[in-house]
Amino acid sequence: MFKVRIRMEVLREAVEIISTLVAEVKLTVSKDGIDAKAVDPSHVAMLILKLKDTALELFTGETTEIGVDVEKIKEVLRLSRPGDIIELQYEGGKNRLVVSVGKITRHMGVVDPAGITDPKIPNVTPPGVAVVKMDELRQGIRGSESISDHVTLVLDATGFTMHSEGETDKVDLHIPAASLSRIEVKDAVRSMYPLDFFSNMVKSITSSEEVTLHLGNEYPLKIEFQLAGDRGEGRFLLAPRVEED
Amino acid sequence: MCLRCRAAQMLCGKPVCPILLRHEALLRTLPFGAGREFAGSSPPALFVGRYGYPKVSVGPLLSSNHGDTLVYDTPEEWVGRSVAEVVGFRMGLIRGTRPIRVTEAEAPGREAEELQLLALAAGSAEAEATFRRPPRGRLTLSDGAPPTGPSAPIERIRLEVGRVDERIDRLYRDGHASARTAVRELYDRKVPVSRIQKALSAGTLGRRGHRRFVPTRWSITAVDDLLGKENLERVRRLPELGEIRVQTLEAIGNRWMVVRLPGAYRYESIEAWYPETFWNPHPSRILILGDREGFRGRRNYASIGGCYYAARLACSEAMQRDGRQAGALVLREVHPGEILPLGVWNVREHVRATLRRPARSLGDMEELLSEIGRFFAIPVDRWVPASALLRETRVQRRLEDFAPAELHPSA
Repeated sequence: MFKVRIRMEVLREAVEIISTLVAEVKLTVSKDGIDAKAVDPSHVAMLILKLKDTALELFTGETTEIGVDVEKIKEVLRLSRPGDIIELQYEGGKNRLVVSVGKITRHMGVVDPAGITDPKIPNVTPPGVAVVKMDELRQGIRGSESISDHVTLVLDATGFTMHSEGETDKVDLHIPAASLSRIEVKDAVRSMYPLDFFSNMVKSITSSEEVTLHLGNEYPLKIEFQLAGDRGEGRFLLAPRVEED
Repeated sequence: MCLRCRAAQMLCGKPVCPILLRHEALLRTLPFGAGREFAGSSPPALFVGRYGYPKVSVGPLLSSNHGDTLVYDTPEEWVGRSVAEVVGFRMGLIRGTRPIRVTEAEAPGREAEELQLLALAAGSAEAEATFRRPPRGRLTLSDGAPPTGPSAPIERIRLEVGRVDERIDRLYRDGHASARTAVRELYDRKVPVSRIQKALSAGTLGRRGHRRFVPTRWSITAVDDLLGKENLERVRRLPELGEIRVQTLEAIGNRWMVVRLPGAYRYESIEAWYPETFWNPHPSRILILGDREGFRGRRNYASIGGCYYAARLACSEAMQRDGRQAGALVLREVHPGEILPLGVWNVREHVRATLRRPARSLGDMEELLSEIGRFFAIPVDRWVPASALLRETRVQRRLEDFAPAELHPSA
């Protein structure tokens, strides 16, 4: 059992990120904060997310694992206003999460955490690293969406390129190395990813100004970002597509 | 464009669909012998139009044959029959019409109530009618609903409904169950989908205060969509099939292939129209059109329309039956043998029939592609670019491909 108080904005940001991949999530709530790991049903994408203790206004109780229906939390968030504090209270025996905001109290059934896939995090270490501004990345995604259902990310000495090609049209976002606040690359690396996943992931990251992309050759992409200022951090993994012959 | 619209959206900007008009004009010359006085039966069946909504044309479908005419409006029984036979069933069905406000379902007048009773009937109903003018001899086509025969405005009608289907009647009397709950319950009680669609269309289901006559075409897709969605809620919790499985069928000018692909649920439906087929009037070009959804389904209406939802319902049933979720791909090749749009039932029942055929397991994607190449007349390199699911399965890697042992602990 536990009791947590958390700012509406912080919870909303975390929930938006989680809901890009799963409808139900297992949370570990402790005095160190809230941890979530999730893999999408097709095993193409994964999320590891942590809200630090400083992201919580209050925690009492003991370390607890609960499974929650993400949509239900969203419903409560829709009832709340910016600046609100949301209180989550869980009593193990009743299998119910009590969520209060303002004068509203919602009792919600929880999901048995044993029924939610607990992904082991694959140890992927892509060789290339680039720190990219979020608004540039979002702009590149908007440019790609009408072109194709996949994007190719390239990192080489000249900088970072996001390339999208359809039957007749193509679009490129190129950020020169000098404009990247960090770039690490020996040999050029290049991978193709499904755009719907990539786009949803990037769009769900709302408060980071920059993200760190880890990139390899036909290799999973790692996106590292911050949330709730520096009081939370997350990383997405996304499996690549191989180029058609 | 015609294939995309199918007289539903009037994309060409003309007030009347030229394709439907041409075919109907050809059929208008067919002689039809009925006068103003009519005696016969209703399968039972009714038709609710969509033009002029919320004031639409509603009426029974009537056959001049007496006795049991149930099969004329039971598409579940049409699989294995020829186009001529199905058209034969439908051409003899006179469509009585009367303008009715859809909200009249809530507090029906005598005639609206008789129509509702018709939707509850367990068997065919004897009918007598006087039309305002003799029925005009033609076949009315719609892409959603099955074709109907001549139509005439009704002056007076008497329907003799014998026994009602108690399963439907119970929900008709229950003013508290929502339309969703009612549809689901009827389906669970093994009421044929075409009957549920009729009951919904007649405004006999749903909460009191919310009942409406629903245009036949909308009702068909609403039921397919709703039942498919509910089935898929359960399918998503099933273990994965984990292999490539293929079933095929050839029927009335269509070749059908349903493929199940490894991985979690997702769905795609692709139609390839030969030149000179109904919705593809072009003399030489093949048109391929499709739509799809991922694990969590879709929010907006599928571009290929009602067929998408009908085939999805059939797939969801098969996955539940097999207790395994999978990526479901429905491929349909339409040959010139399909001379008329027969309605969405054609898709639902033939995909169901395909999924009852013996299944073959295939080793890998290459084997699947050569199977597609063998079965269809349209070459495989036209199908692959049209199918996001095929392309994706070939090229998309999973995370465990990079660290298999770690993603599946102790498995």
